[in-house]
Amino acid sequence: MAGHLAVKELRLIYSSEGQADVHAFGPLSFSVAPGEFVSIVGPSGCGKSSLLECVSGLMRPSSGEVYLDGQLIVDQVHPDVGMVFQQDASFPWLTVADNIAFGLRYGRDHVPAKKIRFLVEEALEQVGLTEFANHYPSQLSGGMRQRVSMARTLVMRPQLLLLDEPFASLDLQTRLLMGEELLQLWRQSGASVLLITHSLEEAVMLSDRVLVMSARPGLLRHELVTGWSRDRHTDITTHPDFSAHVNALWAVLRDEAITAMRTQA
Amino acid sequence: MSARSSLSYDGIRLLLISSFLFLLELVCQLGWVQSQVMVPPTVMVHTLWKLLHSDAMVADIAVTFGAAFQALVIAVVLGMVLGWLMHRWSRLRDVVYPVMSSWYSIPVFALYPMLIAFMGLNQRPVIAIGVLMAFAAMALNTLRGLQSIPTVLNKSARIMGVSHFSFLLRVQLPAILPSLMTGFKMAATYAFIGVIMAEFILSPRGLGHAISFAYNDFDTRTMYALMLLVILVSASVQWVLIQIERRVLAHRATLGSV
Amino acid sequence: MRIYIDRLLAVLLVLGLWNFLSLSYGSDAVAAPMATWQRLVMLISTGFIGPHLNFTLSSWIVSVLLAGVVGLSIGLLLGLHRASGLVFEPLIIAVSSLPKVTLYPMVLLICGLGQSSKIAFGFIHGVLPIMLFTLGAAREIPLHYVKTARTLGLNRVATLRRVMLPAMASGIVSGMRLGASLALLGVIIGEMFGAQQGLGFLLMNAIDINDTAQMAAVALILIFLALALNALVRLLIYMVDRHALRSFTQLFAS
Repeated sequence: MAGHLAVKELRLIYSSEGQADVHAFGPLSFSVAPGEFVSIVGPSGCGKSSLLECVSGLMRPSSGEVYLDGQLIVDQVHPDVGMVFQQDASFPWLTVADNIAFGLRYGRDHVPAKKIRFLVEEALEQVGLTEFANHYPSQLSGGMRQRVSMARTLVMRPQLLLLDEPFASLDLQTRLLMGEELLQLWRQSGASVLLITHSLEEAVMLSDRVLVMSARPGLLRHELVTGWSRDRHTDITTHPDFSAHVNALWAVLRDEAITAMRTQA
Repeated sequence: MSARSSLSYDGIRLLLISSFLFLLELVCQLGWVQSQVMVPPTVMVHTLWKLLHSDAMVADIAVTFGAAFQALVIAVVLGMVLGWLMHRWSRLRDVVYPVMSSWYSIPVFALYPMLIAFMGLNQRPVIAIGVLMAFAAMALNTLRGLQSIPTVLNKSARIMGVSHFSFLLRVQLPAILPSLMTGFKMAATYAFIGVIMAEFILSPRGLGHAISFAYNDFDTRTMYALMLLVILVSASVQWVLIQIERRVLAHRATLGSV
Repeated sequence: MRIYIDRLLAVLLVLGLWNFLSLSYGSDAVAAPMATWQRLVMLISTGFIGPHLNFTLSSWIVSVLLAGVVGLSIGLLLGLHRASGLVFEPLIIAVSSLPKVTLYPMVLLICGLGQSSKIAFGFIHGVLPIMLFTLGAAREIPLHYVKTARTLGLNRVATLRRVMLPAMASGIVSGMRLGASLALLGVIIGEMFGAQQGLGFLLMNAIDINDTAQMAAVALILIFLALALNALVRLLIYMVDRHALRSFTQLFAS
């Protein structure tokens, strides 16, 4: 089955001249089943972003392995991985349509122009940006620009979608709407999702499972299974188990957050 | 600033310049300033008009423009390559960057005599001075541009599996275009200044030489006419470059803004 | 550590290239490093360079002082009075992109061939960046600084002295640094024609008699002078910046 992620004993240690080694995270082991939606929460500086970069192949871990569908990922980005970042990654010199088409045009596979046009139109519809196809990112709001990044990533049909706090710079209302859209896109694409977020509510609302990381060096402290159906919407917050889940997470995270505040500058 | 208000500021400036010219005209015509020192603007314009019909003068103008253009092209290419190399290799950057950033204060024209001695009294040392004055600005701006590309763009391109060449051409180049335009404008200014300066100091031809010759010949009319030409050309070139920059960068906000 | 080795290697590379050029083209075209060094030593030890250096430096200092006073006052006025600033700034920028050397004949006609024209050249080159940077610095003073000063009960003079000038300090000194460097260039270029003294004159004189060792020696002196003065101004910047910081903290601590 496609989109099976297995992380084994992954570890990252930064060494710099004249200073002690910093253990960013690890050893960590976890997996994401095909089509599963998993979130990772943890205090600031616990290495969540670095973890995601190691999983994607952008960064090389100090030890341990990452497998996607049985293939070892090391030093190279696996073609079935897509990633959306917290910062705006849209190319300001291209229109929305050309942005979305970028990976198809200049990426790994050679996709014929007609197919590109079709895929881009489809992606624009999925993220609701059809009227803005010929606009430039500078003319769009932050939330819309994140949708462009999302569309650009999804149009390449990734089996594993990595999201590094994609909604962090957006206001709360936009965040909720984007969360709803993300659920929809997840269902439509059938991809596995690994999301990093600071918001416990967001994690519980969107995911099948939530992993809690400790303060540096980041280790997996806790795993929570939400048990939601695949069919969920953001109104799952009204479910009786919702608050209990969030509180359970906070109970674990609180100690880690305090430790992080104390030990990190 | 709205288009209308910028128009009225332009109007004020035009008014100021015209009043200044009018006063200058008056002062000269009334004889308050000797004609050996200053000539009236109308005489400057008239003399310039006549000069533009003389083959010799047009030839001099062409020589200067030719030299400035060549200096600009070389400086831009050299500057971009150097800027890219400094971005790529930090060892090179550590050695070269301090020199580049103080380059504007170094009297590079002091090397002009030596350049003449070894290249000959022709266009080559003139172009060389233009290049020497212009390439540092291009290199520094290219470097700054490359350094300010948000890392998220690089990461996204890598995730999409963009090849090295495509990355250079389709991500880095468009991303640094604003900085390249800034560098280009500065390089154009310095190339022109450098060429005129070299021609002024020592050269058998060109606008700079023609001005110097007119001065030595006590031909103040020609001298001022040519000075006026240089001012007009310089202002026009700057204006054209700003218009080009505006068109090329039309759709962008600043990179990385949310 | 590696940086210093790299820099040393770079210097040796340049010297090697220079020597190569001299050997290939002959010493009548490019003087050898050794010959240049010997001439340099001679110029300095015999005191020959003295009066010329004096001439150049004195012209420079006067031009910088003039450029500073004029540039700062006009820049301050234009920066604080927004409308005037908006009108004049593009004009000043346009003049900066002119090859100012084309104005030289006019200056020579007005000031004559003596030292005053050299001072004028330095002034023209130096005043423009000082004006522009001061204008920018004055314009960018955060409004809340002035409002805070008013709530603290400062009058206009005190506000200017203790809040506005320190806020503008780094912009002003960046302008002064650029202006001082360009003023030196202006003075030197000016001395390259119609002068009887000064380092610029020595350079042109060397061309006339095709004394390549003199050309190279004077060029070296000019380059070192420019870098030394640049470093001196940087030191002054550092000291002013620290003082500005002290003014600020004194104000808010009181």
